[in-house]
Amino acid sequence: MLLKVENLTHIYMPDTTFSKTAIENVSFSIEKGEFIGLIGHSGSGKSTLIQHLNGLLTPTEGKIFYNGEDIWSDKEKIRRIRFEIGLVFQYPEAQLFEETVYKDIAFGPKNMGLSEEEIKQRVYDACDIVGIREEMLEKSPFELSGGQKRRVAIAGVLAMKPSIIILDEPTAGLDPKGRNSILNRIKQLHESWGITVILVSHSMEDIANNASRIIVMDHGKIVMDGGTEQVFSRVDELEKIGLSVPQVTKVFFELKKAGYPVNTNILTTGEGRDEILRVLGKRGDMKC
Amino acid sequence: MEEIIQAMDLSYQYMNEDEESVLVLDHLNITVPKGQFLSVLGHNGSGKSTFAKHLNAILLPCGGKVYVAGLDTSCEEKTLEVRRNVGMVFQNPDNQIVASVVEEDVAFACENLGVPQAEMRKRVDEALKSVGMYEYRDRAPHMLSGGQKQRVAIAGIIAMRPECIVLDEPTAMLDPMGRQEVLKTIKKLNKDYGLTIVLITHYMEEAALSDRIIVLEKGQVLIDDKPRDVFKNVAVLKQTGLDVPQTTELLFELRRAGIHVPFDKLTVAECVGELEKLLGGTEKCC
Repeated sequence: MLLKVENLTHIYMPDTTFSKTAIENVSFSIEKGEFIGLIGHSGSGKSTLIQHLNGLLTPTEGKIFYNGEDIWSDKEKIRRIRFEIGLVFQYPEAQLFEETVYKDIAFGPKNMGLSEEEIKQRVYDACDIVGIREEMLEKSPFELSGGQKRRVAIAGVLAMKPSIIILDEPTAGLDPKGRNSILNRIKQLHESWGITVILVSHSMEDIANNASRIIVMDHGKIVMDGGTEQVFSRVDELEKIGLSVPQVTKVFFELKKAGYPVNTNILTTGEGRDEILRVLGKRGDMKC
Repeated sequence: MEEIIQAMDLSYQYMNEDEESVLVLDHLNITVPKGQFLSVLGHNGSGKSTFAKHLNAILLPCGGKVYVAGLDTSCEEKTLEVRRNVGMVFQNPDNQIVASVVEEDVAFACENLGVPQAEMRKRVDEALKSVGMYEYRDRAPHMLSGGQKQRVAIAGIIAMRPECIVLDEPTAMLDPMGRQEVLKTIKKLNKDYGLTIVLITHYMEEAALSDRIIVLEKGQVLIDDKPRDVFKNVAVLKQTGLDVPQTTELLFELRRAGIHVPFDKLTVAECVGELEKLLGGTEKCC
């Protein structure tokens, strides 16, 4: 087990009149190589949860284990956890600060105390995976387009070669092309580096196209945790807590409701097409 | 029909750091009649936001003219009147809220315009009711959800009694429920109050709700049509880096697989209706 969260509770401003329980008694674990979608409406506790996973917030109660070790067992070691578990915030391009793209991406590995040679290698590897071309490395990050800036910011986290990467709404505000490009890169990264991915998103379509497991949060608790198809089969419950299922999944639920013999575990338009063709083909075979 | 916005031969360019001039809007001609709900699509860098910022004189044309309710936006004495006619709502709700109480925030623009107290009270209450936030009038804005904050921002504009609201990706930072709240509000303001809406968005499902869609590409109008007809061009849209709603895409895929279905269907209900026709009789069989 790579990461384990045990009975985690977080209370903001405890013992004051503003005291607010953001997460309540949350437990789950993550295996190496998983691709997890984390969903929940705004204020459900997602961001508070992910900030615990690399030690940016300390639990009010409960523990987090990385590779079987309590991440807070030795406070000195918490820095190392942050190299292992990379966190890409919402609108990460707002955090770019260096003079050049190269320096910005190299910032993390530099802090890890790596040699110049190793740093260079890591910067190039990270650029390669997010699709930043070499001639961009000497440019100022502020000259780049929104999508490029975001890729530079993600590269900065990847250059630390974390074993888990958590991305909080990595595609917010990007156009469909930019969105697909980032998601495809993440998918590639997951496949080629074997990195464990936690993707936080409001887009059910993006989650459906990428994650194999979904964790659903509501009011600071985990209310569902299961395979993507299984979670998206609970349409009514999801809608009740302000979430939804991908449009195409919804279409098949409606067809089923109307009495048609379709499967409802449809997550992409391609699967939808094949399912319709299957049902049509079946009808052809059984001409009464 | 009376026009509220007229962009005539509008061009805009700026100098980048290498002192090269970059043309963002390229001799653009767009006319928006009063009461229309227009969506503007285009990938990042296509000129959408730059166009939007010309509609209430945040940016002024480098070439050509923009008229708002007949007023030339480049005429400095008219700036205030232009802005009274066209209100803007931006992407991030947290950047647009100024006061610490909801109703004070909504009153902000009215105060600047010197609206008398009694009239202001009336306008603020009406504006809050029209976006469904009246019950929250004495709350602190920072305690609201993203969708609620955006509705407060919209109410602030409504209280100015503008002819037109321009929204630049107002739902990009919201969760699905927040998005729905904001869209419902926009649709209602358009239908019940006859407000002209210009919605800049990346979400095709949102654009599908409007009367007309303009797709910008390299600062020029690539497509200008009704949603139904725009989404028929699945291939063209994908080429420009845009998407179509999943419902349209599903029907398009079936069509490519040789099944005869129309794919100008936009909503889940329409798509289901089409598929029911296609599958008709399936369940009765055997």
